[in-house]
Amino acid sequence: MAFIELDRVSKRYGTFYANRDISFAVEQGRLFGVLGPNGAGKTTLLRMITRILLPDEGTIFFAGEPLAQHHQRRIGYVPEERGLYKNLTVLDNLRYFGQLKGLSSAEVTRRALWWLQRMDAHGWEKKKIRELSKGMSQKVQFIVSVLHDPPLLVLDEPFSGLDPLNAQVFLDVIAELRAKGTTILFSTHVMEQVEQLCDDIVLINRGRIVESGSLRQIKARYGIRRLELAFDGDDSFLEKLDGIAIAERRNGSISIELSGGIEQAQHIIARALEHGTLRRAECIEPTLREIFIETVRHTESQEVTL
Amino acid sequence: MNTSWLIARHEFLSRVRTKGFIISTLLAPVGLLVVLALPILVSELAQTQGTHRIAVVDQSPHAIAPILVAKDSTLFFPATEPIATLRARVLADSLTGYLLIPPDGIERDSVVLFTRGGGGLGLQEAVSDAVREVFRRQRLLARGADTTLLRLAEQKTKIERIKITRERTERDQTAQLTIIGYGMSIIVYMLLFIYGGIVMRSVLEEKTNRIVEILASSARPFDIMLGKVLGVGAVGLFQMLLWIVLGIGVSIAVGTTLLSLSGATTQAGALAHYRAQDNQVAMLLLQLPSLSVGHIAAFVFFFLSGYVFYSALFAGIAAAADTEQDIQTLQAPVSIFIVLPMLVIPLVMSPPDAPAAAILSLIPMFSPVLMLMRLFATEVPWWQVLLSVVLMVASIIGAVWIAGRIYRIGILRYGQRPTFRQILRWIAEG
Repeated sequence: MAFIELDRVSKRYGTFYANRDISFAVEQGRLFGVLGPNGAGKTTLLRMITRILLPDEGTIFFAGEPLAQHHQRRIGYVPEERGLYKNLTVLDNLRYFGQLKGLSSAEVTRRALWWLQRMDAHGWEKKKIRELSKGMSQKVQFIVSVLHDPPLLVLDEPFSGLDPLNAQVFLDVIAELRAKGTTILFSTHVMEQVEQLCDDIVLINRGRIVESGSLRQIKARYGIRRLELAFDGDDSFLEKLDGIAIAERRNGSISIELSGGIEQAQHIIARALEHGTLRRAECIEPTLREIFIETVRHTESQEVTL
Repeated sequence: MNTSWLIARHEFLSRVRTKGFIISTLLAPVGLLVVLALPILVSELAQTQGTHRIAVVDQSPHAIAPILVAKDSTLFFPATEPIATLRARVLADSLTGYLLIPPDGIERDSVVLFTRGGGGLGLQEAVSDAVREVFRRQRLLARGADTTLLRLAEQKTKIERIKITRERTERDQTAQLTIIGYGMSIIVYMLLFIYGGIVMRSVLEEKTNRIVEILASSARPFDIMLGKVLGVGAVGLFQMLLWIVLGIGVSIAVGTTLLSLSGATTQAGALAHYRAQDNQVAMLLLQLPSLSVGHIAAFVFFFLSGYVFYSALFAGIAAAADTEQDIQTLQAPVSIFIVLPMLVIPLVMSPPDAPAAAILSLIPMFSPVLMLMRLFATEVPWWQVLLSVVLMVASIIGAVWIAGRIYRIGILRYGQRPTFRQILRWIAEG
């Protein structure tokens, strides 16, 4: 069953649609990526899922029920920009936000100390937020979102500005939470992380969904785009083939852009075997970055022609 | 509502624990005490030191100099040196000045005081009072007035004012109560700005630091706003409570100090002492009317209701703003309603029972200052008080509702400052 489901959700500012007709479902325990260029409407979408904003049209379902105020206690949220009281200590911040999620003062203190330990932030509890570096306060912000052990975690650009060491701590914790069954939704425009982490994605541009599904499905849909050959012999036969372009030729290895998918690749491989020694042949799926750029360009050119 | 309570508690505790709160709570009454006590102390010190010396040069045939000297020997002494020497002594600061009584001084009712300037109004008044009295006396004696008659004529009349109410007759303290009411209104006026400002800055801080996004992921924007307004209001109420406790202590201290300064042993004796000196401030302080529970309740009610009304609107304004400058622009149409009653106070006070005063004080935006003031200055009919309370409560509900709508939309919106037209649309559309 879908843990989060959006049914034709729209958010309007005056006449401008920040989100329009968004429908998708997030299965429980999945790592779900919301992708899109800057200004696509990712943050608005996440704010509606966390019920910070209410949709103008459509319905959001949380574990099968229409999203209501009381569900907020089961959602953890890390906003894109850090929001902590600079003049209060780490522990006072965590206590306040934890209590707002319904935890008792004693419980929230116990959990806060545990999490500080877990995030390699032991001993920070008495420090004021203003004394912390950006990476440090990012960790505190993350702890705010998980103190109440929410079944849904929503992260808006969680990795921006983290050094590799800290990013690894975050990735490890996210993996742990996911193994425990936490559903995690996050937005990003860093494609490499999405490929590394996500089970499913939606790609939004200008407030609308332009692509959605599991990462593998999407890649399969875009098919094989490139063939890489390590080839000894005369490659002039390639010049005579239609519908391909040689992207790169280097040290006896050739990278070929295809237009005919897997059949074309197999055809080229067969020809190559006739013309010399084929040491290696690899069909390359498009990277998410390529899909992203192509889809965004495609939808934008469509809108221009409309 | 539960989250509102948590937010209010957090606001209250995190503010009350700061050094700023403790310092401002302690310093404000100390400042007030200094302002009140300073004139009394100064006049006492001026009286006892008697550093001013004035030589009396009497050119009249009536021997006025000895009478003046007899009247106030610390200030006056008969001149024995020529005027040129006196002039040099004044310039050398060994003498405050000299008083020249011309030959026809009494007839023309005029004397000349030579000083280096300064010395303050107190000196001038002391000299002119003494001369005037002596002259009047001399003129009357010259016409054959009897000394017993003179004494009778010079007696000071004491007016004791009695106020008649249905229940009982009591000492009329209208004057004192009016002054206290005026003071209370000014305190409310200042507190509205101070605490409204705290709410405004704190909402803006949470907006610019993006804290509000975290809050909004746990609570409804309306509850966040309400929690903040109530929490900061509780700080104001708490501070007021501390001041009342401090005030009782201070008034006991002032009473004791005035008593010991006067040298008298009883309240009545001290009062006589200050009446003789014509020291109005000291007399007022000694005769402070005790405030009724009704007065204190009125003060607390009008402070709190005015505070909730204005600080909710200020919270909405801050939510619509991005910077301090935006706030400056947007708050003007609200702040003007806090300032306006201060400007019409003279109108309301003359007299406080007039229809104009009643109508002005019933306007909810003005009530916290004007109705409070009238409640001290006069007997406001009970139906007016009731109407004022009802109107106030209704306006608070309206203001909180409007502010809640502005807050909800404004708080997550960054970039251009909204126009008043846009804000009106937010209110209309929610």
